[in-house]
Amino acid sequence: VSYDGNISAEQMADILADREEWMRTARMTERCDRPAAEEAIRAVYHAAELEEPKIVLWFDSPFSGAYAAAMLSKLGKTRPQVRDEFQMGDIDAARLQLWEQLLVPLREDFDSSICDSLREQFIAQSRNLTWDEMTGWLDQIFGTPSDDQADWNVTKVLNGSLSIWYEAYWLCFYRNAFKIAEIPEPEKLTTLIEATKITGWWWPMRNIVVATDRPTILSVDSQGQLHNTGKPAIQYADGYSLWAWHGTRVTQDIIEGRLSAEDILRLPNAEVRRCAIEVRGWDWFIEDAGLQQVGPTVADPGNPGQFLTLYDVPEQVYEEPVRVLLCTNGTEERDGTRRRFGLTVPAEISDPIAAAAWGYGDDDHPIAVTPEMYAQLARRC
Amino acid sequence: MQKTDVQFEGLVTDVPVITGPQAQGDLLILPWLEDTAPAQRSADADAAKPLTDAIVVITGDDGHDHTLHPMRGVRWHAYTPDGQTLGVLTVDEGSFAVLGHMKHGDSHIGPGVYVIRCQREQADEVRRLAD
Repeated sequence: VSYDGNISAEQMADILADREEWMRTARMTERCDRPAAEEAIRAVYHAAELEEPKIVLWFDSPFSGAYAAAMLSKLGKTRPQVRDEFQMGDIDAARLQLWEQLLVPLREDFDSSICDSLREQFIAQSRNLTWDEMTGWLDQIFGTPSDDQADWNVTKVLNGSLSIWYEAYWLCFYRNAFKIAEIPEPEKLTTLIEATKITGWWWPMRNIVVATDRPTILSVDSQGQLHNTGKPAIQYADGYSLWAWHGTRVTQDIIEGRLSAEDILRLPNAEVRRCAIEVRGWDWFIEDAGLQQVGPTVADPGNPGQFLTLYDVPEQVYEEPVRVLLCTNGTEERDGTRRRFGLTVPAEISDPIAAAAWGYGDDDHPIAVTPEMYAQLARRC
Repeated sequence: MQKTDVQFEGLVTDVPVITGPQAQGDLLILPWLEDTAPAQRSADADAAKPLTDAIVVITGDDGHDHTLHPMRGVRWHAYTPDGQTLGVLTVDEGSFAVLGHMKHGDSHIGPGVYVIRCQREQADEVRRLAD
């Protein structure tokens, strides 16, 4: 083994390139090449020394797939899930070798820095939001068993699935760790990577596989969080959709801006209320909810031509009491409107300029922005 | 507004070189004066390294990057990525730094020690605002 506890710049470049490839693949919205995917899935069974599946059932979305997998496992006890068997045997043996020799320094070197982004973007976002959305519907269809020990429930069905969003971080980690450790890549890992990259969610069972296609829309913001304006953040060919605002799952009504301020104030979840307001804009909410102005409207000293107005926000909007600073451009846009946006600040601030200066503060850093300093700002916007 | 219009050899520009506080969209460039937390100031300034390539300081929600360009006498030290303050920029006497943005245009920063900071808002917790 040539690994000496350090990863060379060249090895790191290879790992980063492989991670980029995983990210690109996990965001694909092209249709699956179904014959190629079926062949890759059969190779996984072959590597696991399981009898090849006789039937591969295809569906357009993981929701339809989960429904089919639930029906199969509920109706016929002859369809045990085999997901776990793909991860035992030769992968385990190789992992043990890696663990003994190299795993700890390798983890320190690249697991947290390289694989965290795969976990954050695809498990915490695409996979978990889809999982929660599907669980809600499946529980309505099949009921939630009161007994956790029941041999069948929706969670167990979902746990039997594989998807690139969930598997990417560990498949990426082990492929690169084995390569650096010069441990031959187990056939189970090779085949699982190939099948996972070219299929959507899939449920491997004894003799039968439920496979599903990729989404037709997968939209994220600059931080990789699920997000779309006016449209679903994830949509499948059969219409199954999921709406999200900067990583928070919300309803179609909210994303399409169909809630009134009164509707929004009745939403039970503070995070969802915040999203619903941001979708329509604070300037709209201030008017529709009839918020009370605090103090006078003042010219923005850090932003010539712009005006600042502070408003009280009803306590039930956020968990924390806030006020909102409305910034209005003095000059009209080409269409005659004035650009306006709201910035939420702590409720104890009662001066519009102090509120604007607070927006540039950082409690974790010694440089404070005073209203005087804010007034000196030169700006490019 | 404090502006220092410095003439640099071989460079024709109508963008003022500024040493006072300036904003680029939702990003703020703040001078770090010598008497503010001097020990941390010199430690962070010493940690700053010259750039070999242009780096993305942060990407706005419109997909446009705020980028810092490698130039003589310009050094950068990035803080941990999830804080409000993104890092420390140092610019030597006789040099200036260029922070570029597709939509807002370039900002030119004169000699000194600075932090680059994101705007924040009060939600259920204080959080970074993306433009």
